[in-house]
Amino acid sequence: MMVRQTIASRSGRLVAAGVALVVASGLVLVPADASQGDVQRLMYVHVPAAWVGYLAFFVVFACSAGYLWRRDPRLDRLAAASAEVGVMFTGLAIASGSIWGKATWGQWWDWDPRLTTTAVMLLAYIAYLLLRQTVSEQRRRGRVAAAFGLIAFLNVPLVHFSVLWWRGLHQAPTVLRPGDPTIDHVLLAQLLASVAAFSLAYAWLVWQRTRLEGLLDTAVTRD
Amino acid sequence: MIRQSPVTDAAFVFAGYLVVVGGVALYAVTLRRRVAKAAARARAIRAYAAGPDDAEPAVTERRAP
Repeated sequence: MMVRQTIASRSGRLVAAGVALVVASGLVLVPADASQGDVQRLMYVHVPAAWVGYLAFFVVFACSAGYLWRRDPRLDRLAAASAEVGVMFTGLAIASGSIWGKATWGQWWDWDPRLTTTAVMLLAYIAYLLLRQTVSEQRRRGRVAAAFGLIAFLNVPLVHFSVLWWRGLHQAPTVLRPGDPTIDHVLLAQLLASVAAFSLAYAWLVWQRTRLEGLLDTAVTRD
Repeated sequence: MIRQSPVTDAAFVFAGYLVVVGGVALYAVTLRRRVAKAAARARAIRAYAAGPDDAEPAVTERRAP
Protein backbone atom coordinates (compact mmCIF):
# COMPACT_ATOMS: atom_id res chain seq x y z
CA MET A 1 0.00 0.00 0.00
CA MET A 2 2.79 2.41 0.97
CA VAL A 3 4.80 1.47 -2.14
CA ARG A 4 1.78 2.20 -4.35
CA GLN A 5 1.27 5.57 -2.66
CA THR A 6 4.94 6.47 -3.18
CA ILE A 7 4.78 5.48 -6.86
CA ALA A 8 1.55 7.46 -7.29
CA SER A 9 3.06 10.49 -5.60
CA ARG A 10 6.33 10.42 -7.57
CA SER A 11 4.68 9.73 -10.92
CA GLY A 12 2.19 12.51 -10.18
CA ARG A 13 5.04 14.95 -9.62
CA LEU A 14 6.70 13.83 -12.86
CA VAL A 15 3.48 14.33 -14.83
CA ALA A 16 2.95 17.75 -13.21
CA ALA A 17 6.52 18.71 -14.16
CA GLY A 18 5.87 17.61 -17.76
CA VAL A 19 2.68 19.68 -17.96
CA ALA A 20 4.47 22.68 -16.41
CA LEU A 21 7.25 22.34 -18.99
CA VAL A 22 4.93 22.35 -22.01
CA VAL A 23 2.88 25.18 -20.51
CA ALA A 24 6.02 27.28 -20.05
CA SER A 25 7.29 26.56 -23.56
CA GLY A 26 3.84 27.24 -25.03
CA LEU A 27 3.70 30.59 -23.27
CA VAL A 28 7.27 31.76 -23.78
CA LEU A 29 9.52 29.72 -26.07
CA VAL A 30 7.42 29.02 -29.16
CA PRO A 31 7.07 31.93 -31.61
CA ALA A 32 3.69 33.62 -31.99
CA ASP A 33 1.46 32.71 -34.93
CA ALA A 34 1.84 34.94 -38.01
CA SER A 35 -1.90 35.45 -38.40
CA GLN A 36 -3.41 35.37 -34.88
CA GLY A 37 -0.43 36.57 -32.87
CA ASP A 38 -0.09 35.55 -29.23
CA VAL A 39 -3.75 34.51 -28.87
CA GLN A 40 -2.93 31.37 -30.89
CA ARG A 41 -0.92 30.13 -27.86
CA LEU A 42 -4.27 29.06 -26.42
CA MET A 43 -4.12 26.20 -28.92
CA TYR A 44 -1.47 24.47 -26.75
CA VAL A 45 -3.96 23.95 -23.93
CA HIS A 46 -7.29 24.00 -25.79
CA VAL A 47 -6.48 21.29 -28.37
CA PRO A 48 -4.82 18.86 -25.89
CA ALA A 49 -7.80 19.23 -23.50
CA ALA A 50 -10.21 18.46 -26.37
CA TRP A 51 -8.01 15.54 -27.54
CA VAL A 52 -7.94 14.04 -24.05
CA GLY A 53 -11.75 14.35 -23.99
CA TYR A 54 -11.94 12.23 -27.17
CA LEU A 55 -9.43 9.73 -25.75
CA ALA A 56 -11.32 9.47 -22.46
CA PHE A 57 -14.65 8.85 -24.15
CA PHE A 58 -13.09 6.26 -26.46
CA VAL A 59 -11.82 4.46 -23.34
CA VAL A 60 -15.37 4.61 -21.89
CA PHE A 61 -16.66 3.10 -25.15
CA ALA A 62 -14.04 0.32 -25.22
CA CYS A 63 -14.46 -0.51 -21.52
CA SER A 64 -18.25 -0.49 -21.84
CA ALA A 65 -18.09 -2.98 -24.73
CA GLY A 66 -15.57 -5.04 -22.75
CA TYR A 67 -17.75 -5.01 -19.64
CA LEU A 68 -20.85 -6.19 -21.53
CA TRP A 69 -18.75 -9.03 -22.96
CA ARG A 70 -16.63 -10.07 -19.96
CA ARG A 71 -18.58 -8.62 -16.95
CA ASP A 72 -15.26 -7.67 -15.36
CA PRO A 73 -15.88 -4.99 -12.67
CA ARG A 74 -12.40 -3.52 -13.31
CA LEU A 75 -13.57 -2.46 -16.80
CA ASP A 76 -16.64 -0.79 -15.28
CA ARG A 77 -14.44 1.12 -12.82
CA LEU A 78 -12.08 2.18 -15.62
CA ALA A 79 -15.04 3.39 -17.71
CA ALA A 80 -16.40 5.42 -14.77
CA ALA A 81 -12.98 6.92 -14.07
CA SER A 82 -12.36 7.79 -17.69
CA ALA A 83 -15.81 9.37 -18.06
CA GLU A 84 -15.25 11.67 -15.08
CA VAL A 85 -11.78 12.74 -16.25
CA GLY A 86 -13.12 13.16 -19.80
CA VAL A 87 -15.94 15.40 -18.60
CA MET A 88 -13.41 17.52 -16.73
CA PHE A 89 -11.13 17.91 -19.78
CA THR A 90 -14.04 18.54 -22.17
CA GLY A 91 -15.39 21.22 -19.83
CA LEU A 92 -11.94 22.85 -19.78
CA ALA A 93 -11.71 22.59 -23.60
CA ILE A 94 -15.06 24.40 -23.91
CA ALA A 95 -14.00 27.06 -21.38
CA SER A 96 -10.63 27.71 -23.03
CA GLY A 97 -12.27 27.62 -26.47
CA SER A 98 -14.76 30.20 -25.28
CA ILE A 99 -11.90 32.51 -24.22
CA TRP A 100 -10.17 31.95 -27.57
CA GLY A 101 -13.49 32.59 -29.35
CA LYS A 102 -13.96 35.91 -27.55
CA ALA A 103 -10.44 36.96 -28.55
CA THR A 104 -10.75 35.98 -32.24
CA TRP A 105 -14.47 35.92 -33.10
CA GLY A 106 -15.58 38.61 -30.66
CA GLN A 107 -18.04 36.36 -28.82
CA TRP A 108 -17.85 33.84 -26.01
CA TRP A 109 -20.23 31.33 -27.58
CA ASP A 110 -21.85 30.57 -30.92
CA TRP A 111 -24.22 27.79 -31.91
CA ASP A 112 -21.61 26.60 -34.37
CA PRO A 113 -21.78 22.86 -35.27
CA ARG A 114 -18.48 22.04 -33.47
CA LEU A 115 -19.41 23.95 -30.33
CA THR A 116 -22.95 22.58 -30.26
CA THR A 117 -21.96 18.93 -30.78
CA THR A 118 -19.22 19.32 -28.13
CA ALA A 119 -21.76 20.71 -25.65
CA VAL A 120 -24.08 17.78 -26.43
CA MET A 121 -21.16 15.36 -25.90
CA LEU A 122 -20.38 16.96 -22.53
CA LEU A 123 -24.02 16.73 -21.44
CA ALA A 124 -24.19 13.07 -22.55
CA TYR A 125 -21.24 12.10 -20.34
CA ILE A 126 -22.53 14.17 -17.41
CA ALA A 127 -25.74 12.15 -17.85
CA TYR A 128 -23.60 8.97 -17.85
CA LEU A 129 -22.08 9.96 -14.49
CA LEU A 130 -25.49 10.87 -13.05
CA LEU A 131 -26.92 7.57 -14.27
CA ARG A 132 -24.20 5.73 -12.37
CA GLN A 133 -25.23 7.55 -9.19
CA THR A 134 -28.86 6.48 -9.54
CA VAL A 135 -28.19 2.70 -9.59
CA SER A 136 -26.72 1.34 -6.37
CA GLU A 137 -26.42 -2.37 -7.18
CA GLN A 138 -22.96 -2.84 -8.73
CA ARG A 139 -23.71 -5.36 -11.50
CA ARG A 140 -26.86 -3.58 -12.64
CA ARG A 141 -25.07 -0.24 -12.53
CA GLY A 142 -22.30 -1.72 -14.69
CA ARG A 143 -24.75 -3.05 -17.30
CA VAL A 144 -26.82 0.13 -17.54
CA ALA A 145 -23.77 2.40 -17.62
CA ALA A 146 -22.05 0.23 -20.25
CA ALA A 147 -25.10 0.38 -22.54
CA PHE A 148 -25.23 4.17 -22.10
CA GLY A 149 -21.44 4.41 -22.65
CA LEU A 150 -21.77 2.68 -26.02
CA ILE A 151 -24.62 4.93 -27.18
CA ALA A 152 -23.02 8.16 -25.92
CA PHE A 153 -19.89 7.51 -28.01
CA LEU A 154 -21.91 7.83 -31.25
CA ASN A 155 -21.65 11.62 -30.84
CA VAL A 156 -17.83 11.69 -30.66
CA PRO A 157 -17.10 11.19 -34.41
CA LEU A 158 -19.87 13.74 -35.08
CA VAL A 159 -17.96 16.29 -32.97
CA HIS A 160 -14.72 15.69 -34.88
CA PHE A 161 -16.20 15.75 -38.38
CA SER A 162 -18.74 18.53 -37.70
CA VAL A 163 -16.22 21.15 -38.95
CA LEU A 164 -15.94 19.29 -42.27
CA TRP A 165 -19.59 18.39 -42.76
CA TRP A 166 -21.16 21.75 -41.86
CA ARG A 167 -20.16 25.38 -42.21
CA GLY A 168 -19.44 27.24 -38.98
CA LEU A 169 -17.05 29.59 -37.22
CA HIS A 170 -14.74 26.89 -35.89
CA GLN A 171 -11.71 26.19 -38.05
CA ALA A 172 -11.24 22.85 -39.83
CA PRO A 173 -8.75 20.29 -38.40
CA THR A 174 -5.08 21.18 -38.91
CA VAL A 175 -3.45 17.93 -37.75
CA LEU A 176 -5.97 15.04 -37.84
CA ARG A 177 -7.01 15.62 -41.46
CA PRO A 178 -6.44 14.05 -44.88
CA GLY A 179 -3.05 15.18 -46.22
CA ASP A 180 -0.21 16.97 -44.43
CA PRO A 181 -0.88 19.10 -41.32
CA THR A 182 -1.49 22.77 -42.22
CA ILE A 183 0.68 24.09 -39.39
CA ASP A 184 4.28 25.22 -39.05
CA HIS A 185 6.66 22.46 -37.85
CA VAL A 186 7.75 24.31 -34.69
CA LEU A 187 4.15 24.99 -33.67
CA LEU A 188 3.25 21.38 -34.52
CA ALA A 189 6.10 20.07 -32.32
CA GLN A 190 4.86 22.20 -29.41
CA LEU A 191 1.28 21.04 -29.98
CA LEU A 192 2.31 17.36 -30.04
CA ALA A 193 4.40 17.82 -26.88
CA SER A 194 1.38 19.40 -25.16
CA VAL A 195 -0.87 16.57 -26.33
CA ALA A 196 1.64 14.02 -24.96
CA ALA A 197 1.90 15.79 -21.58
CA PHE A 198 -1.89 16.12 -21.24
CA SER A 199 -2.33 12.46 -22.25
CA LEU A 200 0.08 11.44 -19.46
CA ALA A 201 -1.88 13.64 -17.04
CA TYR A 202 -5.06 11.88 -18.20
CA ALA A 203 -3.47 8.46 -17.62
CA TRP A 204 -2.36 9.43 -14.10
CA LEU A 205 -5.75 10.91 -13.19
CA VAL A 206 -7.60 7.85 -14.52
CA TRP A 207 -5.26 5.58 -12.56
CA GLN A 208 -6.03 7.46 -9.34
CA ARG A 209 -9.76 7.70 -10.10
CA THR A 210 -9.96 3.96 -10.87
CA ARG A 211 -8.22 3.28 -7.57
CA LEU A 212 -10.79 5.45 -5.79
CA GLU A 213 -13.63 3.58 -7.52
CA GLY A 214 -12.14 0.28 -6.38
CA LEU A 215 -11.79 1.50 -2.79
CA LEU A 216 -15.40 2.72 -2.73
CA ASP A 217 -16.67 -0.60 -4.15
CA THR A 218 -14.61 -2.54 -1.59
CA ALA A 219 -16.03 -0.40 1.20
CA VAL A 220 -19.60 -1.04 0.03
CA THR A 221 -19.22 -4.80 -0.32
CA ARG A 222 -17.63 -5.09 3.15
CA ASP A 223 -19.86 -2.51 4.84
CA MET B 1 -10.61 37.92 -37.09
CA ILE B 2 -10.41 40.52 -34.33
CA ARG B 3 -6.93 41.81 -33.43
CA GLN B 4 -6.62 43.51 -30.06
CA SER B 5 -3.72 45.17 -28.34
CA PRO B 6 -0.86 42.85 -27.27
CA VAL B 7 -1.87 43.40 -23.64
CA THR B 8 -5.44 42.23 -24.30
CA ASP B 9 -4.09 39.25 -26.25
CA ALA B 10 -1.82 38.36 -23.32
CA ALA B 11 -4.74 38.67 -20.88
CA PHE B 12 -6.81 36.22 -22.95
CA VAL B 13 -3.89 33.79 -23.17
CA PHE B 14 -3.21 33.90 -19.41
CA ALA B 15 -6.92 33.49 -18.66
CA GLY B 16 -7.10 30.42 -20.90
CA TYR B 17 -3.99 28.83 -19.41
CA LEU B 18 -5.19 29.61 -15.89
CA VAL B 19 -8.56 27.96 -16.54
CA VAL B 20 -7.09 24.76 -18.03
CA VAL B 21 -4.02 24.28 -15.84
CA GLY B 22 -5.83 25.47 -12.72
CA GLY B 23 -8.78 23.20 -13.47
CA VAL B 24 -6.60 20.12 -13.93
CA ALA B 25 -4.53 20.94 -10.82
CA LEU B 26 -7.65 21.48 -8.71
CA TYR B 27 -9.14 18.19 -9.89
CA ALA B 28 -5.86 16.33 -9.22
CA VAL B 29 -5.55 17.70 -5.68
CA THR B 30 -9.18 16.93 -4.87
CA LEU B 31 -8.80 13.43 -6.30
CA ARG B 32 -5.69 12.76 -4.18
CA ARG B 33 -7.61 13.79 -1.07
CA ARG B 34 -10.57 11.58 -2.00
CA VAL B 35 -8.25 8.60 -2.61
CA ALA B 36 -6.45 9.14 0.72
CA LYS B 37 -9.78 9.38 2.57
CA ALA B 38 -11.20 6.27 0.85
CA ALA B 39 -7.98 4.32 1.54
CA ALA B 40 -8.18 5.23 5.24
CA ARG B 41 -11.81 4.08 5.34
CA ALA B 42 -10.99 0.84 3.55
CA ARG B 43 -8.24 0.18 6.11
CA ALA B 44 -10.67 0.87 8.96
CA ILE B 45 -13.24 -1.52 7.45
CA ARG B 46 -10.60 -4.24 7.04
CA ALA B 47 -9.52 -3.75 10.65
CA TYR B 48 -13.15 -3.93 11.81
CA ALA B 49 -13.80 -7.07 9.74
CA ALA B 50 -10.58 -8.67 11.02
CA GLY B 51 -11.77 -8.54 14.51
CA PRO B 52 -10.70 -6.29 17.35
CA ASP B 53 -13.88 -5.59 19.26
CA ASP B 54 -13.15 -1.91 19.83
CA ALA B 55 -12.78 -1.07 16.12
CA GLU B 56 -15.39 1.36 14.81
CA PRO B 57 -17.24 0.58 11.55
CA ALA B 58 -16.26 3.13 8.90
CA VAL B 59 -18.68 5.49 7.25
CA THR B 60 -18.34 5.11 3.48
CA GLU B 61 -18.83 7.71 0.77
CA ARG B 62 -20.94 5.25 -1.21
CA ARG B 63 -23.53 3.35 0.84
CA ALA B 64 -24.71 -0.14 0.07
CA PRO B 65 -28.46 -0.36 -0.66
